[in-house]
Amino acid sequence: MRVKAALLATLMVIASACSSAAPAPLTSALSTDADIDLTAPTAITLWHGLSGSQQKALDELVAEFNATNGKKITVTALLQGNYTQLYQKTLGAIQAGSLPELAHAYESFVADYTKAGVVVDLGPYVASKKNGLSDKDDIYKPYFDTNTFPQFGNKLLSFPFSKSMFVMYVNDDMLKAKGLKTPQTWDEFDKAVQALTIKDAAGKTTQYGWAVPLGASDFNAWVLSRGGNLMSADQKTVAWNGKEGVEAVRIIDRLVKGGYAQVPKGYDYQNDFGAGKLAFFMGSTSTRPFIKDAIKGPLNWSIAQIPQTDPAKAHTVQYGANVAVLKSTPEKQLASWLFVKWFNDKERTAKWATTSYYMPARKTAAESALLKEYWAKTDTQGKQAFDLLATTVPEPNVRGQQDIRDVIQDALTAVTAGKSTPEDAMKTAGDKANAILKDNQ
Amino acid sequence: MTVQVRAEGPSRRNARRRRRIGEHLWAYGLLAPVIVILGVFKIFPAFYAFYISLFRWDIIQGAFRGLGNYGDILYENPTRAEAFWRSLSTTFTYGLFTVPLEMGLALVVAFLLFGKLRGRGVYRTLYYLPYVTSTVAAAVIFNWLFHPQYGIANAILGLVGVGPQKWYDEPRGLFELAASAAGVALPDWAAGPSLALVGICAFSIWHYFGYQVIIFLAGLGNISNEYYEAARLDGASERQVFRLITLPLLSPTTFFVFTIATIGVLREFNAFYILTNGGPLDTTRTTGLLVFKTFYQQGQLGLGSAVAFLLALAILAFTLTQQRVLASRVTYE
Repeated sequence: MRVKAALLATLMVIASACSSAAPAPLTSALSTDADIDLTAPTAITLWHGLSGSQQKALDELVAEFNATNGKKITVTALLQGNYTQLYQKTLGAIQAGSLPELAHAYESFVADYTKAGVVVDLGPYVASKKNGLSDKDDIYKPYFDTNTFPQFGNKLLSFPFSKSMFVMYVNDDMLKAKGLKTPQTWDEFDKAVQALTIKDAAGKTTQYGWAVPLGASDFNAWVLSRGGNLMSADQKTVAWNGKEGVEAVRIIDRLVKGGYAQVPKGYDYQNDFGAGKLAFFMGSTSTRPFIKDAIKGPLNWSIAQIPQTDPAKAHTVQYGANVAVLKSTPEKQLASWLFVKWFNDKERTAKWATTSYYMPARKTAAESALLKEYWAKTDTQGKQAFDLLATTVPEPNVRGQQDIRDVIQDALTAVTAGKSTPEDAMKTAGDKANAILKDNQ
Repeated sequence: MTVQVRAEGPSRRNARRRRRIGEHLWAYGLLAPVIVILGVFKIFPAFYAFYISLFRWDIIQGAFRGLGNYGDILYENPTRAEAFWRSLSTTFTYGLFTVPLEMGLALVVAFLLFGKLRGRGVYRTLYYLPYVTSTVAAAVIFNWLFHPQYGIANAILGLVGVGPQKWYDEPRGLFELAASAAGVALPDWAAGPSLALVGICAFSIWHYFGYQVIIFLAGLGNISNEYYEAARLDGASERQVFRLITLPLLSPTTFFVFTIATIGVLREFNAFYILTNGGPLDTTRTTGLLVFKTFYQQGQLGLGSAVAFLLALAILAFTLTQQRVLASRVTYE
């Protein structure tokens, strides 16, 4: 009897130890965790993928937080390589059960981490009377949308961190020389690209109108700009494979094959643009510092909305990564949230925008004297981009999205390489994407 | 006396046993670091990967699937099966284009360097240099040489009237491109390996053949001069000497080089990762890269481990077949 009792007790101890080691369910009562007090020193680690000047900018903010938070919180920011390496290392950390408290992550990463049960629901923290956000509406709604995951009960699982958006870079000098205005519709853009392409007597292009990297986000933005949707309402199938997607691919196909647009290798187009040899390219607002570096002589350039079917209802893609709080102790989770909240307050988000080239998270950041002066003196194009922020739409944050991006890229490559028609490419890609989504339900 | 012998017998035996145990302990002690390192970093991970491959391990460990992951990859899941078989075909095509050319070139160079040649040492160093150059650094340089806009490869083609090629970004097949230049459209099955894959084959040949030159040189040095002298006394021509003396007596080296070159080709990763990362249109996604994609990029640890095991089995089967078919043709002195 005694032996049995001892055995039972041992099993219970083991079972309870195992359950405490396993990640807690997402629905845990975090509202109480969000309201606790921090009394003892709390050290937290942030794994991120920002290098160079952006790492320096982040380190400065982290140092400021450590010196001023008044709650004995110490954040250590650790670079883990590029985003792919960051994702791989975080997956490794999940396997090893040795996680950082904060993880810089794209939405698709967050979805995977959530599947592993290691992500903290930030809803209760945002709503907390003691530690929450009193001015939530000041943060752009698309930022909340992108961090709210329909696949996981519409929970807020991450928060804006290094945000940017998809825009059009325009060589104003070239447009002026031809008496053209910045194109607003796809038809105007089509004509402008052709007008600004230069070909020699043999018909060989010596200067392209448009450099078009074949990225999935680019394609998503083109679909949105044509009034299309990226996902079905129930988030179970893709919606980009309709007529808007086909039209988006058709224009690339036609302009590339006609010698007006070029599919560049790597980031060469940035040098071409900086050298005044390219009229248009579309990309992230965070490309600005690279363009500034690439400009060697006088060049007037600007950032504009990507061409639209209906400019009055403009849409483009929201870019950039977020930060997720990973499960640890209630104290560390709260400390992590307090850092995230501080990072996104009006002053900090304005400062971050001036040092990192990322977009501010708040509408009122535009009122900041620091940011106003920065835009006026240093970064005119930053303000041009900021004015387009309300038109951004997040990309799908469902599981499998990372694979779907490859499918889209392959479809674009197949068309420009002459291996497929736009219609067939979209059909095949749509079928593949839907199979991936089904696999990941 | 007898008593003395009896008394010494067991003590001698004990001493011998003690010495033997000491020797064993000493031997195992010397082996221990290697056993520990191999055990921790090679053997345990291999067994653990096999364990993972038996589960649905989608970021975290899920239900036991037995050989379900293997079934998915081989035939059950059309997308996975297509990707696996295609990757295997790409891997073997790469091997088929690389190994014979690499070995042929290495043999010719080794034979030339083995003769009396001025500056032989300098040539040997030059040919070996690519092998000791970092694959990643060399691949980056190749990317520039074959750059569609600024690369020297296209500049050279331009001199002979051939239009610029997309090289590592070109998904179309080599034969398809050649035929289309002549105005003939080939069906997909006759398109041949993509130009991107051919470009990687060129890189691999350049990168690895120097190593094979060194092995062949060592093999050539092992052939006794007496055979050559005897053959020449009998009036054999240089071609006959090469065909009837050098090649047969070099066959153990050739067999060794063939085996390691094949295994190397089947495991190649870095060049593909840097030059194309599996693209364009998956035409350069070898099975090694498919393992990486499935495991790390898709977070499908169970399926990724299963692909890795299938690749290991393919390498094993290929090596055993190679041994069986070729070992009997090897001539030892």
